[in-house]
Amino acid sequence: MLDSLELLRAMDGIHEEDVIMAEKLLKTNKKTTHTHRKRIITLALAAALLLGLGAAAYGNGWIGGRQVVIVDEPPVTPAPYIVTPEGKPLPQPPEEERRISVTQALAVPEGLDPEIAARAENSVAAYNEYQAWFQAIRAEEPEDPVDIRAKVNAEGWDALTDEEMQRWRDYQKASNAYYERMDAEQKPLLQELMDKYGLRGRFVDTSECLWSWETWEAADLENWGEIRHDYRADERHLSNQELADRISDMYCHGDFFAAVPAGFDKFYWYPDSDFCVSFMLDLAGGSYATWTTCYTYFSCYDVLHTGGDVMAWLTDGVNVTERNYTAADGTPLVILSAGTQAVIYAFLPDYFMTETVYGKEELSEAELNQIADSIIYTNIGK
Amino acid sequence: MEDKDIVDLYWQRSDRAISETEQKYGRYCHSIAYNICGTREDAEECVSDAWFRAWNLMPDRRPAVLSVFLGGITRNLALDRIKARERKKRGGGEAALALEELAECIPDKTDLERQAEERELRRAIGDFVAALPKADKQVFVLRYWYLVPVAEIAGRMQFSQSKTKSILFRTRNKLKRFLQEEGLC
Repeated sequence: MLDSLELLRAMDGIHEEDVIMAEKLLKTNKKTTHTHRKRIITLALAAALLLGLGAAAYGNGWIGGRQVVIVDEPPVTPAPYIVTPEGKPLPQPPEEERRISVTQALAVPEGLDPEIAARAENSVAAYNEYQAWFQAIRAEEPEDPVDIRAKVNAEGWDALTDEEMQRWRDYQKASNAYYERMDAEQKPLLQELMDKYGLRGRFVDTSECLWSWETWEAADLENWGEIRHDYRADERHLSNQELADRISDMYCHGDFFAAVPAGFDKFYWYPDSDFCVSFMLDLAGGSYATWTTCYTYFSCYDVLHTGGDVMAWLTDGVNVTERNYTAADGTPLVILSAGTQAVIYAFLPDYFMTETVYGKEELSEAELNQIADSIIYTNIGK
Repeated sequence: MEDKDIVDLYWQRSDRAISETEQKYGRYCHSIAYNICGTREDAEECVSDAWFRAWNLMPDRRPAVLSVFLGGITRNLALDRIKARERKKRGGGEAALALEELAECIPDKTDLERQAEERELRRAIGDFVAALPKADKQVFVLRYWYLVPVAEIAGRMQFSQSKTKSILFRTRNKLKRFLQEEGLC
């Protein structure tokens, strides 16, 4: 006799595309449609006001704008797998969701130090030209091999023939956003573009990463079976203090942090190029589960970025509040906040910085200020 | 990070696989587990177990849709957990154990037969849901795959709660008839 738990378990048989269709709906927040419209009007009025006050804003050192980090595009979550077996794209993600440009400034606001502005503008111009070129290449990509997806879903990767696997690889290559995977014909053109703007490349396979054993221990991984090992004995895992010191040694002329954070997700870097410090703060005085993650990326102005290498989304990209904040060390920052998420950005002398903040609960203004003050920006740079 | 890159990390046995999974799908899987278990602690344990299970499954698995793959694992672990909880409620463990021991004496289907039946049931449910009208399908999947509360489904679908309940009631009846016709109950 079939019992209800058995039946519930058998719901596993629901086709992937049907589960995904509902998953998309889970990310929407349709109850707030009316509020959104009001907010858009409010934002439009605020934008008009800002335009009108442009000269005064410049004089006050106002820098900002969501257009610097929020990608202006129809809301698309790049999910190449999401098609039905017939090849029809599934409904687009909710329009509230917006992509954040983590590694590349998309615009340069007025009011910046002229030297920083010049470097940032050069970086933005190169990025725009790269994007136009890349889109042209993308236009030639082969059709999405829906039959292969269906076969993989049903039978697994091992079931593919050599010809099917090759077709899949061709498709992957054509739709890949990483410029280091370009073919022999495209690479010289890429180099030409970088030379034109005096930029360097930044290649994923050169990146290095360190972690914190203290964080893993705080996360209580004891029951994780075979992935558990002696992190303390692993040279890639340091204590929080050691990791903070390492970052300071590599990238600063003083301390990077105002105080050693509660934990680290990771610290990775590309030699002579970008680096990323993903750290965790214990704002609420709780356990690992309640820590706030701050994914902080430092993007060199003289490196060509693809924009597709690190992805982040603001789940609610409409109800975003925007404000300027001067950090404890005097560095001007912009804070975009939206519920449990926020993006803090700054045009530093050598880097464009984005800090994507993931809170467990709605982030208050005081908490965001605290997060913003956790880094000593003026110490960055050797 | 894109899904295929996360899957690659699992195949490379890189510890980063877990942290990237946690960052991208932690909240998603947590909400699935929470909807089933109803407590934050159980949900957190399910999600941790899910990462471990994913670590054991990849390689050899290379899921085409990572969210559904991880969500499915989490869902099953959460269902196991509530089953264990119910067993405890029934008799503090020993009664349930005794029932299980006695069940061995009852001539029953073999594991192979049972597995075949379960497979058939999953296939039938998949076909049934696929054929539902779009709105009914969304309501049904939200309720019985994600176990989202009715009030929340109503909000997301912009339906009244009574309409949502009515859709679920009708769909359950249809499913019952469908399973009877298929000889599955």
